[in-house]
Amino acid sequence: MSELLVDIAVVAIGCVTALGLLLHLRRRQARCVERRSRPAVLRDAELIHIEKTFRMTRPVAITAKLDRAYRLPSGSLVLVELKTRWTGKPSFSDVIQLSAQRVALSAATGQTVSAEAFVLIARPGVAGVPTAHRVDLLSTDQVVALVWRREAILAGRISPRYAADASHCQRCAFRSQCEGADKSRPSLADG
Amino acid sequence: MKYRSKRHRADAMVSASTLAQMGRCERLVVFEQRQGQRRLPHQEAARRRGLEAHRRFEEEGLTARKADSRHAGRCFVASMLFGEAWQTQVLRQFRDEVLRPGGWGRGLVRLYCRGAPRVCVALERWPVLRRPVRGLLCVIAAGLRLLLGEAAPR
Repeated sequence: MSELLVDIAVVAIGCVTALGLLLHLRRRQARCVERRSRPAVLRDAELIHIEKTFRMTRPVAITAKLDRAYRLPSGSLVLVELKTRWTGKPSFSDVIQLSAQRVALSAATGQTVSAEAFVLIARPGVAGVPTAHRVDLLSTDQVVALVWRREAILAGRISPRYAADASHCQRCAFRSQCEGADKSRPSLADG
Repeated sequence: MKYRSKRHRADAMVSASTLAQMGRCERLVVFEQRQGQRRLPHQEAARRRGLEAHRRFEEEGLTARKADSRHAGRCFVASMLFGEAWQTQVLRQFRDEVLRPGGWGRGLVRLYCRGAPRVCVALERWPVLRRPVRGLLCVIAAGLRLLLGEAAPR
């Protein structure tokens, strides 16, 4: 009877140890993956926000859910956004998204958020570490102006511009309704 | 009336990802506002892939942060007492710039990381202790700010 108890205890201890080891290895692996995906600038940074939403109401109302924010040893925060796409370079819309996140985070916490951020681009279905691209963000005034422009467009006070890149039109679900989709267009980045 | 104004405020709130559409195509912004989001099959598939990648990314980040907080250590007590105030930033800066580069400093940080969570529990249990500890840390942080000079956070 006592031998049976000893056997059960040994098996239980073995299971607990194996489970602990497994959890430890999983954590270690996740840490390694996260470390490898970091740009060199963020090597000593601390990961402080993950998938967190921030809001600001003045001068414009913006809500932003950021993927990750790191704190540098200097105290300033750096934003990181993950994108899954085939083209390996960040787009202007990524810059706008990160800039809005920066403005909302800064307004909500009062902390300094760096004007440079990183877009991690992962190729769909391709295993491995995503590639980090550094982007310079828009200023607060530029983000506010963009929100106002959007409001003016939706109110019909300004006519909307076409996509800067014609390839967007080819992949657009509203293509059949967009009368000028095939015309030449001025670039969005121009204005 | 109150409901209407709240609803108006919620409508006026623009998300970062919605605003990002402005960088893609302004006409698309108008179409989506009037007719709602519409996606082609390959766009829907891409969206699902993106959500899945984000879920993994979040999981990795959470696990890594948990592991990091065990290894790297944090300003537990200062964060608990001051939040993200200048005192926490000064103490963090002192830890990163003065203690971490040296072997003895790293030992001290490790020692602190082991003991600090227990101190936090004690401060939770006996709130009367908070005030003197807060005062003491404030004096230390002020001293360190003078020591670190220009580089210290204000």
